[in-house]
Amino acid sequence: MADTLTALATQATERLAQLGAPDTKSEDWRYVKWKPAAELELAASHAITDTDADIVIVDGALTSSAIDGMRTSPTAADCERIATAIASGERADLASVDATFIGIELRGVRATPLRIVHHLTGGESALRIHILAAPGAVADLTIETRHHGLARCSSALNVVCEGGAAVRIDEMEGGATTPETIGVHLASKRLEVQRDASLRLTTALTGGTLVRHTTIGDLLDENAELIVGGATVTTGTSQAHHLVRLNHRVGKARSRQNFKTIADDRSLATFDGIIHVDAGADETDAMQQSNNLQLSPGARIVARPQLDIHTDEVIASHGATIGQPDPEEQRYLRTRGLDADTARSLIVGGFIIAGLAGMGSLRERAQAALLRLLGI
Amino acid sequence: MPDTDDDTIEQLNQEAYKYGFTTAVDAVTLGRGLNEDVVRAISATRHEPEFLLQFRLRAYEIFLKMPEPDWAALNYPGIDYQDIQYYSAPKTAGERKEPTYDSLDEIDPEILRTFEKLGIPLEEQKALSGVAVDAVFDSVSVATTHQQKLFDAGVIFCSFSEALEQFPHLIERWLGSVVPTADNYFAALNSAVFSDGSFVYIPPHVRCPLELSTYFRINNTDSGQFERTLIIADVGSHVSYLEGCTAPQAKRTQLHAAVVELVALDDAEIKYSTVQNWYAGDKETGEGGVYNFVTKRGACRGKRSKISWTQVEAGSSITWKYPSCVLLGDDSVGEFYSVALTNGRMQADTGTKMIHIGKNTSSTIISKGISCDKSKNVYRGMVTIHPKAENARNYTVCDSMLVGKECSAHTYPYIDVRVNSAQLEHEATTSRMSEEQLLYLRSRGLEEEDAIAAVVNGYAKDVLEVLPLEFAAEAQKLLALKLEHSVG
Repeated sequence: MADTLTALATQATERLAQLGAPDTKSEDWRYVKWKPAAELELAASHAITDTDADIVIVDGALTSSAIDGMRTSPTAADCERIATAIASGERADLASVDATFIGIELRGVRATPLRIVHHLTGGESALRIHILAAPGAVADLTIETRHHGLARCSSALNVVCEGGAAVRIDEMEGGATTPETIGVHLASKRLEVQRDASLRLTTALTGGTLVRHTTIGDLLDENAELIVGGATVTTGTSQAHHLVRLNHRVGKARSRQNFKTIADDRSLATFDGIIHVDAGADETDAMQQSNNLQLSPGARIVARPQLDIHTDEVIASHGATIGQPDPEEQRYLRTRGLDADTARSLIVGGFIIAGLAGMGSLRERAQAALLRLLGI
Repeated sequence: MPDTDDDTIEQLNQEAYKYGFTTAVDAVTLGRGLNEDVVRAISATRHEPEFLLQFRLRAYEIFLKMPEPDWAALNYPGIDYQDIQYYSAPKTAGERKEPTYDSLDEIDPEILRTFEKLGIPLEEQKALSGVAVDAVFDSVSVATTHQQKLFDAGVIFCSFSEALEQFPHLIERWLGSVVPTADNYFAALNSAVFSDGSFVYIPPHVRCPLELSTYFRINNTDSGQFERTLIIADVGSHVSYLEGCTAPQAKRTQLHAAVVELVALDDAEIKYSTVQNWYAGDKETGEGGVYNFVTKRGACRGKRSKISWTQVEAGSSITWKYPSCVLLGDDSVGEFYSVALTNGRMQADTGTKMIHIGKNTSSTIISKGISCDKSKNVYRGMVTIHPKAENARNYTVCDSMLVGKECSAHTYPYIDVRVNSAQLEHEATTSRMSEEQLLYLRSRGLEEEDAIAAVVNGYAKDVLEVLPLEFAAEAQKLLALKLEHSVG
């Protein structure tokens, strides 16, 4: 397998060199501000001691012991998935091919959430995590990316939910100290959901020098369910980008995209999502929603909710809104005796809480982290 | 009665596109190909002033440097720009070499009959309806009706050639002011080779007494059509302008690359409606048809000005068209209402851009796509709120209806907001027209055509009801006719 991986790594390096750095002429990178990322001065890496998680990674290197169901080298099936990722040309995938590999196999019903924490303290790093939920597996996972110092990281997350599996992943990315410690993170997530399986991925995201999450999901069989969403907060001059592609390959499957974003100060936040329905994928049920609050005159929000429908018997809809905290709602709260700041904070806070409603064990911490960013 | 199967097929084709005939007229052409000499020759043939020749030459230089856009979700063989005739004008009845018409008597009677057949009577005594028509045949305008009545009201409505002769200062001032020559590849091409088109000027505080209309007819199947429309609505004025178009049924494709520029000054309103029914190519093979690459843009320059685009797109094998509004004036309003129907192997990538720059500007986008057979229907829209556009509002609905398993519908909106006082709402749905719906209506006694029309009219009601009355009935019939053999 080592030879296969070496060959894939060579292939990925060549493809990366061939593609070069993405620029704003590419539709997928059109709104990304590259200059701050290019000028980023990385902090020096340093050691972190963390005993509060099942799997601890520091700057791309595994620092904790192996747990049940975990492996550190890819299987043939993993290599096939890596080859598919290389073919897609997504930069984070290409950069993560020969990175530290963590494979996790979920079986049966897991009583407590599996906690993974990736600490970024500085320097350059890459990480690849493959999660396989076996038929009938039921599990909650939390994946945190904690930024301690300006770092540059590429990460790839591959999740396969086999028949009847039910997996919930709470994901959180932010500064362990302040948002200014968040450097560049390009994350690529590939999600496969098979017959009768269900996968819910909720992300609490903080903007940084450049934070970009690409999520590509495939609903491969009937009664598959894929729900992605979350809440994003950008402040200062930070930027955060969500690129989501959910593909209905067969009919009678269900997908939901529900993203809520708040942009403050002079920050930039974008959402670029597609519902794709293949020809013949009849009785698809798909919905996509992007709601955005713009708190400052200098902030910028871009929303691109898109539909790509190749058959007629579908329910597919999308919606996007961009606005400010509703003055009517604020007035109502003030008539109940709240001062203006509290009324506004409640509405903004409620917006974030709604975005993270799908989370499990990480919800309270994620809510608190995003609210803290906004001074709430 | 048809004698053979071939005759039957031919008859069905004619029913499907009854405007697919060709008129045999002698034409003055410049031959195939595009180079600087052709650009100069078009200008010389039309006796244009020096400023316009320079405008064309600058555009041609830009065109040569620009790449053909490839970002649209369209798939068509490359266009051979050297295999197109860029100028084709019917000779006058008196065999004059220069195709300018001083009266209807000088027009080849075949051309008059052509417009009669298309339902556009040009003779004033027949043109009794409240619509003034400018008829454009290939590269030239052949007639404009009701000019005197309009002139009495102070309204200028004439061909572009006539405007150039009589009001060159207006052309020089406004031409390219909304769509610059370097705006895009097809606008640059049009700016270099455009021939005729319509010009409208509505003086201050005048409400145009008639609906104005231009009817574009491509007759020469070897030529393209590159017309230019310029409408200026001065302070406090109002005008409603209608546009229709057809082309012969031919195996060759024809390129239509037009530019439409609208300018609305303070408190002015322009309502621009289009029923586009160019030949869409063979339903089975996709062979032939018009490539419709059009740049349409309106500038709401004045305070409280309003520009409203309404379009029913039912023809063309390829459509690349995004009528837009630049909302510069404070409190200005932009609207876009569209029904785009694709069937056979048609491909349409159409939508709008609303660019909010002034304060308190608002825009509405209602887009209804209908895809049938093996066609592709794309809505592509952009709403941009600039940093100084305080209190901007936008409401967008872009719905798609699919009829059949082999067609596709795509929605690609861009929403870009750079100020924190804007309110934007965007929503889209996808639905289908099913046999069950039609069966239900037919069980209530409706003929198939009426049942289809009822479903389509209900779906597209928001758009059809803003069309001028004369066009709304035609548009409803056209949509029902196009769907007739696609449903079921």
